Amino acid sequence: MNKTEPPGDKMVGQELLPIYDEVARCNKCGFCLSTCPVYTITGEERAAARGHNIHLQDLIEGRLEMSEELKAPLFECLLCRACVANCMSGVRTPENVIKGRSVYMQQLGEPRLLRFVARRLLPNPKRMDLCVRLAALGKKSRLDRAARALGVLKWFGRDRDKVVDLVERLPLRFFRERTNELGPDPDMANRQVAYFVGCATNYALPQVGVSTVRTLRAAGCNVKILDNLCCGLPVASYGDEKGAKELVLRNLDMMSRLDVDAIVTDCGSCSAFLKEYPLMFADDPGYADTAARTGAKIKALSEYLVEIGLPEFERRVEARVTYHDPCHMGRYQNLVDEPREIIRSIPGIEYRELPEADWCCGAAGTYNIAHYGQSMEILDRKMNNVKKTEADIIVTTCPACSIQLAYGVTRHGLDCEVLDLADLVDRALKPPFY
Amino acid sequence: MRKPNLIRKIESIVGRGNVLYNRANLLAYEYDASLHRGLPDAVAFATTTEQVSQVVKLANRERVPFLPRGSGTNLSGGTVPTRGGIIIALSRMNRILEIDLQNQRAVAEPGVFNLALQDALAPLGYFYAPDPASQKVSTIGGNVGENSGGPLCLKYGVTTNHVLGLEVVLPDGTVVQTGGKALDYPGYDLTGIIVGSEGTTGIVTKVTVRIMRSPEAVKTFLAIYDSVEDAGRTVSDIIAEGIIPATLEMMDKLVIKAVEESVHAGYPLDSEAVLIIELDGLRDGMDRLERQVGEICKRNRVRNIEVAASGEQRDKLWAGRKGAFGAVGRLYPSYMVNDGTVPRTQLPRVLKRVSEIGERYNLPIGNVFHAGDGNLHPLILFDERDKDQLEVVRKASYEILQACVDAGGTISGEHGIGLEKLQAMGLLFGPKDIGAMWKVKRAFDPTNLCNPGKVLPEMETGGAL
Amino acid sequence: MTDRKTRKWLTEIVGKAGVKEGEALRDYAVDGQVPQAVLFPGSREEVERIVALALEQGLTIVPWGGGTHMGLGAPPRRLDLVLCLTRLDRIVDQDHENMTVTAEAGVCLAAIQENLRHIGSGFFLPLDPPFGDKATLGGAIAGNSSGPRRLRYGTLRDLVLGIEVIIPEQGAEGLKTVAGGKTVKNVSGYDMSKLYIGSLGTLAIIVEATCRILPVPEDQATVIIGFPSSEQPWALARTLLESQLLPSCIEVYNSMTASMLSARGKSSAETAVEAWVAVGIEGIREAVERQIAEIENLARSQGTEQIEILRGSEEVAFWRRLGRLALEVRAKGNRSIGLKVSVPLSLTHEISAAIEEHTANENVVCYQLSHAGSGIVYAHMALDGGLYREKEEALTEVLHELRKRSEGMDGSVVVAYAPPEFKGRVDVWGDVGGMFPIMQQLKRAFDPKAILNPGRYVGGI
Repeated sequence: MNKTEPPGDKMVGQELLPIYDEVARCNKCGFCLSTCPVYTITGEERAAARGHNIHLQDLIEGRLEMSEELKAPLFECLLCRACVANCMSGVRTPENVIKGRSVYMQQLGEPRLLRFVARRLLPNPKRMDLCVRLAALGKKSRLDRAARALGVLKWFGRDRDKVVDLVERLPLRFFRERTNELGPDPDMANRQVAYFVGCATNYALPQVGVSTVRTLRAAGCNVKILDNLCCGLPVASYGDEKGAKELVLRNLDMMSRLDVDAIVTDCGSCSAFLKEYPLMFADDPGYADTAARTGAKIKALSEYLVEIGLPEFERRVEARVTYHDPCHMGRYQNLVDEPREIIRSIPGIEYRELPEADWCCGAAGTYNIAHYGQSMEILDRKMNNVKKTEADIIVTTCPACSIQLAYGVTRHGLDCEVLDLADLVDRALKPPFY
Repeated sequence: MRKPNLIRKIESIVGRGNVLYNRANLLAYEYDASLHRGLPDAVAFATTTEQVSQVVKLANRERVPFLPRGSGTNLSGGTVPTRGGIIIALSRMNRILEIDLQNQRAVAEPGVFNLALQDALAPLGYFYAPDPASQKVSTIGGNVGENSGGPLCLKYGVTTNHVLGLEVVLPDGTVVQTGGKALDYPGYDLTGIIVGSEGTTGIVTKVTVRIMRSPEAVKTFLAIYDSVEDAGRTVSDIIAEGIIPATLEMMDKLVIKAVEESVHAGYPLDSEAVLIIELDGLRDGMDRLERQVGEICKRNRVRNIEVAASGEQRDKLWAGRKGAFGAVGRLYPSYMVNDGTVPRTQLPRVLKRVSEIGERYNLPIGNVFHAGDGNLHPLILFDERDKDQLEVVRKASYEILQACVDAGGTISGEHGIGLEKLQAMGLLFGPKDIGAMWKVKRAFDPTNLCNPGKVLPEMETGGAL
Repeated sequence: MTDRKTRKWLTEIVGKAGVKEGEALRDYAVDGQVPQAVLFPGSREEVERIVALALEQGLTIVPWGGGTHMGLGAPPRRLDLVLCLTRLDRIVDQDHENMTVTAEAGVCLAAIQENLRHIGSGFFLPLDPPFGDKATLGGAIAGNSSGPRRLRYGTLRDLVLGIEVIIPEQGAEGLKTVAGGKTVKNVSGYDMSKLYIGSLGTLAIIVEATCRILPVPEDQATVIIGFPSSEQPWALARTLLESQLLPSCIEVYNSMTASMLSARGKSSAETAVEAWVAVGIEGIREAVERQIAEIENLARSQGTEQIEILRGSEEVAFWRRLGRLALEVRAKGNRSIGLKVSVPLSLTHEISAAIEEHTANENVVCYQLSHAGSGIVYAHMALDGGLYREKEEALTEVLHELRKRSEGMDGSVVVAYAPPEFKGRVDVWGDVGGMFPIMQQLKRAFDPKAILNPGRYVGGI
């Protein structure tokens, strides 16, 4: 399957010591079990926060050695933070898990694919564009189907043949190549905003980028489209601290030189991670200030719109709409009310609250690729809840969730569409005249 | 002590991928919510009664111990293997099989979360009375094993009063039914024996419970006190005046602090104790009861009484109370919880003794408990990574149990004996008494393979094997 | 035959006053079998010594309380001694602040109630089986006796907190064991009380028990409603059970039973009544008033004006009369048969109708009384010698039919009392299913020599 690099230093216990107190705070009450989307489908202790903390504690105390046996336990976690929200002691298990992943990689080596993506692709936009375009062409020419039929995809692991269907098609033109569609800044703009373009938006859902810029402009902002790199979240989630930091530094350098009121992004995952940038430099006297100042400017689209005032809605959207809380929006940034407020203020919409709205959809970044089967079971729970609302449109504020939910719609044969909040708002704005 | 052949045999019953046996996976099963640890040889995930039966039969053939596990939130070590063996995990047997409103019964698989059953019943206007604090995550099967209580048990009784029938895999693998949807079945009340037997008499694979119509009206109060004794006396006085509230819970300052940090329900951080009093029933006359309760509180120098204004506020108060054990992790990483139960009138005295014990051993002790039925939960707070502290904590814990027995009480109101209180059984019972219980154990499990080493201390004369 | 030496030893244990012999023994016959001796131990130690002697001598024992429920069970395989516990009659502890009462097995329930009424603000033991004036605590526990108020308060398995018993095992020091305790919550060890409740004294002899008690409710009343057709009381019962009202008992009975209850005979209005329901309500004043009003409305909306509300001594008298039903029936015929049928709640009406149909077909008068909220129907058939002989075979068939039907509904039929001839023909308990081997094991473990009530329990235990 994945080829790995040679292992590094063996002092596992030591490496994990910084999180010892945090993992020990888990007093094993077990309340996390019923809130963990993975535990509720596997019923296996290792999936839940309690199991993670025990594993980490055992590693630290030398009762367990880092080995391939820890792969499933450490990498099965969605990092959705449902456990944190329900933990009576507030143990920050996902952070513990990421630390565990980091040490895992250090001990047992990083999968080559991950290393390639982290070190060679993400920091190099041109190369990244090329790879994605090849994949897009592959999808368009149905090469993926051929590959599946030939069984080639199976070389990359179980379920990989199903995984290619997650995205119906990859657009051939990325968002950054469609900026000419965007037109000029508004005449009477009173704010300066930088638009941080997330990778998923750029490559998979460019329309969302277009809607985001239009929305911001309609709300009275001058929008500068940033030449940013990947925010670094996927790399950080896997525990590649070094790889993440590289991307983070380059982004921070670029963003710290901006003279803007806010740095806005439509991607819930990006905004969550960007807001954590300052934490990475909290102990760095030289950079802490800069990072903090820049970090304070990061805003999720819905957050910013509610702050500065919504644009004028000139068209009605007659639809039953429900909203799925991306984990990175609700649990990481506590942005639960803002998207709902925006949806409800669009004329014509009948809003229906989604049961278990904050239950993870199972995308979790690349979780649906790495753990297809489980991801689908988690998705099914979400889709069953969606069915209960009888909604025409499912709205969300993260492209990974959008892709996953769209897949869920197909999978369950539902008659509804999945829209990013930006796209929904765009439908209510004055139609573009250019 | 791994037996590859054994693993393969289990796999042939439950399927490959449904048995855990590598060290990391097993380490995730060597604990429950108590301080005990014990490594199993294998963890088998069953999804049908037949599978459970087959695994048990296999265990018999291989002379390997076995035990059931729900969510593993047991507080006395009942879910921790003492001699290795096979954990039969029931977390995937989690379907509510039937809600039969006509007969006021529900049938559930053992892995159903207690709260999931409540949530399925509530919209229908019904509830299942046993509501342990762990209900979010503890399973119906686990509740049966421990004979769980909960705040509502003051008025409504405990699990055994609401379990009317079981499907059980006996320790030799035979599948039998006890009880059912009707009442008063002829023969010995084996349902009643199995409930609370902590998984030592077999593995429950289906539970038939009584469900009840939800009360018309519920009123929840938070009574705030400046002294634990005043709160304790209020409890006695309420009962003495013939009022049986649905719940009567107490928390002291230490616990309030932890809980408020977690749920922000508006618990007062500067009070010494609070009571959560809940009245339920018909709305007629409830105002009068409310006034009566208020007067009793005032007589006992209550600082303030707040009535929960909304369902949401009520939920928050309860989330705090029910999450108390987990919340104290904010103060100290570990806790040892006792479960002694004393006659209500002895509460103030015993609380004082608990406080003395804490001072003497220099251990912080937080109190949260079912004041209405005298079921204490002194939480001794410490850090289990410090092995010396653990020893001290154990001593203090034993003394607390002794104090409960001295006051005419018992050593476990609802958490079970498990491993934790084996020694303390001697405080309550003599060899003959325990011998009678061994008769029961042996009748069910002559080879002592079913969750061995739990509940009943081994005895020299006529003991275990 | 107990030999003279044994009798001498027994007399030594209990004293001359503690032994009955001669003609008096007939009063202590069980299913026609007369014991060799009837003993009245005055203390637990005496009980222990008697049991030890019985073990040694291989004598069988039938424990006896108030003798009100002795019809239950199959005829004993052998009956040597009747051990009557009525001299163990101390109320050991009445703790109203902790709401418990501890009493020896021989205390009769009425005495407990009388005592409890006068402590604190007035308390009661929420147990109302028939013949409470004679039934003893130990006997009630052994027979799992219950009454109408089980709907609200449960049965002994919900009331017994702790128990002390004598296990017939030849051992070193004493035979007495305890389990449970005085607290409402108790999971220390196995829930042994559950084993002894309803065990008909086949595992151990109960000598003391602790039960929970409750404050006497502020107010209580009984609403008695008569309906022209037999489905209507059931419909009312159903409505009550589905509502949020909290009746303490709902008793449905037929006109035969009503005629037995009514000392004055049927009034002209009552002749139109086919079936009755008596609803007991207790609690705080306002709640009782409201429930009375609602029940009255319900009754009227079902088209009847035959509504009577009883309170105070009238109410007490009514329930006492209802409790004596079995006695009255047996007074009418010394070969009477009583059945206890238990089915899931919603099927009670159906099984009641089936009982009516079967007995009517055989021209046997059947007095029915049902705990409509618990799914339990008591069917009493008054039979004298002649009628019994005529109907013996048919009634055996009726039992089998009812049993088949009940068991098909996940229920059971138990013969509450019957002439020994009848008991010889049928299984009084019914099939106990897959758990029977364990029950046998338990019997062997507790009473290896089978000296307690041999043959009287399920499956011949």
